[in-house]
Amino acid sequence: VTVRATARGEQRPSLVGARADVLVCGASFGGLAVARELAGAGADVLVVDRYEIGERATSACAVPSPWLEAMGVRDAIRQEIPCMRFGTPHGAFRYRLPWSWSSFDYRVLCQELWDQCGDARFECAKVSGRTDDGVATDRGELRAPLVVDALGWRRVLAEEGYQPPEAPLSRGLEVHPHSHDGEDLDVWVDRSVVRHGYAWQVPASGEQRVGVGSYEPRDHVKEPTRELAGRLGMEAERWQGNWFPHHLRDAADSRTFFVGDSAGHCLPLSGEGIRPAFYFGTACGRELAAVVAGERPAAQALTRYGAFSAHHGGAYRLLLRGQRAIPRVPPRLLTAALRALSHPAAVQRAFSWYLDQAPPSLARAGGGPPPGRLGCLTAGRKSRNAQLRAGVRAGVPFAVAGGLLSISFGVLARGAGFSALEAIIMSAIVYAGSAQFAAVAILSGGGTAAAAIGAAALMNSRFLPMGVALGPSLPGGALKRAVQGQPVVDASWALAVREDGSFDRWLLFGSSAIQYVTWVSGTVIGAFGGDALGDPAALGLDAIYPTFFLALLLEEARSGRAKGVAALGALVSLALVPFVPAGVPVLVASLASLAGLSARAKAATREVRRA
Amino acid sequence: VSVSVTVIAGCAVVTALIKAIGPVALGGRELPLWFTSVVTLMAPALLAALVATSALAHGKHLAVGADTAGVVVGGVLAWRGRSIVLCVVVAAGVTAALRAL
Repeated sequence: VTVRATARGEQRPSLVGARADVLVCGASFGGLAVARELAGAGADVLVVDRYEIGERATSACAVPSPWLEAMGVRDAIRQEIPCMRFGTPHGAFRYRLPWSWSSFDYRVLCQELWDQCGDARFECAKVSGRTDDGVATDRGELRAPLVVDALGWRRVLAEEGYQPPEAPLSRGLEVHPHSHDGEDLDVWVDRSVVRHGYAWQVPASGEQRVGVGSYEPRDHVKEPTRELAGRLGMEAERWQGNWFPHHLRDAADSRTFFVGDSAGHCLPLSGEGIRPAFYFGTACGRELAAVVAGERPAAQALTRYGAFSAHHGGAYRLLLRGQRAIPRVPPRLLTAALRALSHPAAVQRAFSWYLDQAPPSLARAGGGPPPGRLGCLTAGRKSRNAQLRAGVRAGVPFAVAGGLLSISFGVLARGAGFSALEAIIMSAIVYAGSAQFAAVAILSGGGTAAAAIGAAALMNSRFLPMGVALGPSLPGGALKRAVQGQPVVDASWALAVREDGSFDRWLLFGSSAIQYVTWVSGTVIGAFGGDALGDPAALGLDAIYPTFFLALLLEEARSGRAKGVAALGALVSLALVPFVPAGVPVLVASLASLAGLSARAKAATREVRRA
Repeated sequence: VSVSVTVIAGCAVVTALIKAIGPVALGGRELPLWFTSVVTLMAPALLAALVATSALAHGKHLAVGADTAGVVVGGVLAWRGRSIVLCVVVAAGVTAALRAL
């Protein structure tokens, strides 16, 4: 029998008049992830839930272990499960995953998350709806400018609620018998158990979680669960079940943030809901922290968070198609497909893709920049081609601006005594704007070839730290890595850096490719059409280069710390200009990023405090 | 060999070498934590230094010119969320207009 910690009756005085900066409704994984991310942000955070934290398990199967590590809640793990076994009536196949699942203790996990929530307050209250400046509860109205709905699929704080069985909800039910059987996560697709869905057995160190999920909300799961437990020779005891959504919904409306099942963040096909709740909860918490810090208005944070969530629509649609298709596939064909997928390389690829749709790197990058327009592009590690295409798309504006800039290079190079062909060849094989400008400027000022090359080298010296940063993200032998380092240009490098400091190399290649095309084309126009264009200075073309990087900087430097480092870098470089050759000030300014070391020290202290 | 050919070849070799050093020296390693925090801050530091020097430095002198004004206007547009293409076109336009005065 569960001991209720939740206070009742007179122990629940009215909360009328209660205020907070951020009101998080729902204290399961989504809500706790939001509050955890807000720890130390200087916000007054109030978490409310109908039950005490950890009292009422809403879902309890398994989470990818890398996520539990990233959230600092490893102690909640009951059993790590490195292998999955997929069974049909015609065969079973065991897959060793590139990462492991973990079954966990619900109460401990919630408590460990709550311990990381800093000064956040908690109150037991049943939230019944949205009001103009807060939410209505059974203990009175609570007021807050920022409100998060992490209350589950009912989407209590929105106008458009929906009810089963008409709604796009799946249903799941499981029992928790005591048994030491099993070390794999078993999944059965068997029509004799459930027509549209699957059955599972998840070992949890001395206990098993055995259950049935149905994608069709009209189909009942109680009898199938009882029968499954019987087939496995286990007691059908300690029941637990819930509805879970399989349609992604808007994660923000004009005034409320929705996290977890209220936004339909539960993944279709697998029905995995805890990891997406962590993932989107962390992203939401970062947006809220930015609002609290005065970096952006709430309306902008709502838009950004909504866009971040919607950006994952492709993966949700793909999984939903799988969820619809698999119950229709003839069992023998499905068995053959599972056999084909059991090749280690295929398992590796499929399950890496699956994890990357909500990767733990988001949580590990604690305190990093919030997911922005660029963050969206790099948040999920998509397939190579998708990232190449994303890189090309992201690079287009920079390519257009770079093309304009290279027109002026073409004109200047002709003025410095280069032939049109030489100017074009230089752009094609050097492909480093500032270095080309520097070399040409030295030549037109009467400098020697050696001086021109030296100036170019100094201008390019910033690629040294950029290459050092990129290096760890490049696979292959030394020669292959050296070749992969060549496409680096400033905009691509800045676009491709992920929140955890690693790089998306395909995004980088795609973005550099499109910029290369316009860089060379622009030089052609400038070199041949320079006479018609006139003096590049009169056209103001020299303002393009700094504006280009300023726009990129504004996109990159969103957190307060990044802004501080940017200001420091600018000051350092300007202070050095009168004393050292061009290029060196920028190289030295890169040292401003060492401020990250003190940030790390701060993060470490936080870790210690958590422990 | 003409001066221009020497300069082109020299620049190409030097650029390729500089870009290769980091990847060759540090390829395929596991990222230590401190490295991550430094790298994520490197882009703002480098970009800010590039902007400051290219908008304000003329050789070894610091000077505010028509181009600086153009960059500021372009920067405000970028800050207001306009497309980067619009920003650079306006920056160039403002600079050209100021110089034509």
